[in-house]
Amino acid sequence: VSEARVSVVVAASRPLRLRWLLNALEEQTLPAADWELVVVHGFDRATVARYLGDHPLASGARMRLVGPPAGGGTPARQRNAGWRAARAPLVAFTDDDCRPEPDWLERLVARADALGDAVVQGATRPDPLERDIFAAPHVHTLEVDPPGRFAQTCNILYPRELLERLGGFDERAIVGEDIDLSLRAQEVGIPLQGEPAAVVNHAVEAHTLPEFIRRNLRWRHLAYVVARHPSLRSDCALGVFWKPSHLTVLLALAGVAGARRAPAVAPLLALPYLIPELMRRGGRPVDVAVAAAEVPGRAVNELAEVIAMAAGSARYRTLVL
Amino acid sequence: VSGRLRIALLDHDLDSGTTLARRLAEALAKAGADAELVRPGRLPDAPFRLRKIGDAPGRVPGTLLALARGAYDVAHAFTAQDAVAALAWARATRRPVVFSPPEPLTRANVADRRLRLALLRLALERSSAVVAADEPTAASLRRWMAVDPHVLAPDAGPEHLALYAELR
Repeated sequence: VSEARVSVVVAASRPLRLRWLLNALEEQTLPAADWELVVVHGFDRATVARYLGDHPLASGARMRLVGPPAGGGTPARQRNAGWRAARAPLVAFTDDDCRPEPDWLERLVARADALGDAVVQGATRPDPLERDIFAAPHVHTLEVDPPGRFAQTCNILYPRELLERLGGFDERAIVGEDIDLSLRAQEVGIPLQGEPAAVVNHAVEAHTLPEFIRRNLRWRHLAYVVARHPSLRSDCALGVFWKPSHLTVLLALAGVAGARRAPAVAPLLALPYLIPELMRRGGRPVDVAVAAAEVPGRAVNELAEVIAMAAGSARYRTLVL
Repeated sequence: VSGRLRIALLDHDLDSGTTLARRLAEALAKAGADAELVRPGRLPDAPFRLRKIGDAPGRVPGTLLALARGAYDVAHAFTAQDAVAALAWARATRRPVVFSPPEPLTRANVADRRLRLALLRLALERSSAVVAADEPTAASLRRWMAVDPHVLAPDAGPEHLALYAELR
């Protein structure tokens, strides 16, 4: 293990999903001697014993567990603790809600070897085994066609030397620490390269509306990253709106608010939000009907996100909604 | 003890003649137990299926009603949705619930429907005991859910009776 070519680093907070990730890692085609696994977690002893203790990767020295870092277990701190404990020259990050394909690591490492000094991002897709979950109104998953601008840590590989040179993830960033690190790498001349054949399947998880809103409120801290990297505004609608739907939902809200004064204008303002929402499940009448029933809850979530990002903008003194 | 226990076996498949529940019912009958196959009626659940929600969620109210009417000492469920209904009954009656998954778990079937994982976790975490019918099912429970079940073949009537008595 001391001569591993790559260390897989996972910041873990969901023990069951982590076990499923371990099951997927166990099936990697990259020879076992070529990689190690570092799991950074904040689980209690009973949880570790139940979910990790008897796992085949726990026998021998292939998997090492790192306790919660000082100052709390934000993803940036966990990942920094993870790569600092890693022993290989390459560090591949993935998340505990992911299921890498068996040849994931092999392909990621092959691409890194071929490129030399580069950050390599693999492809992430919603887990095909959980496609039916999309029938729920409030769903979280991830799809990345690499190389993508946001360099998500669910499927990315950094040379360890580069991580040391950059000082790792910015621990002041509560979200978007992966975007920040990737942009800093590019600023020192290390490109982000894609390896579409290195595939990670991301969990598709349904949430209740309150859960979904609570989950998304953390994106208010994105303003910190945008303040540090104004170039990110090129990805924003009108240079301000992180998601186009944040702009269109505000227009729709303005239309509703002004419906009495200008009844002809209200529908025009609402349409840019409503049309994609109503068509998002397809064009059949039943699909449109289901999508229509989901509009109020989804609009509430969008507005909550906008309000949260406005609060973040005030805190970090830069406008991003 | 076996003569006094009234056991509800929540039959999970009305169409098949070889379910775990039926095999266990025969084994318990041979062992002299008072075991009853409970086949609750089901509400129409086509709208749930259309929205990819769970497996036969329309059975839950019927299961709950059947258990409430039956004055059982133990409920043995063979699907997660029956187990969740039985757990609601158990909360009110303080009786034990045993859960046996009907087939080995795989990554492909453990979270592929809405609410399937949530119901399965409830069934596994809250039931008084989890029983696997064979070693492959037990291994799949350990691998995918980190649960270490009892392993009892459905034909092992006396062993099931001993477990029920212990839980009572």
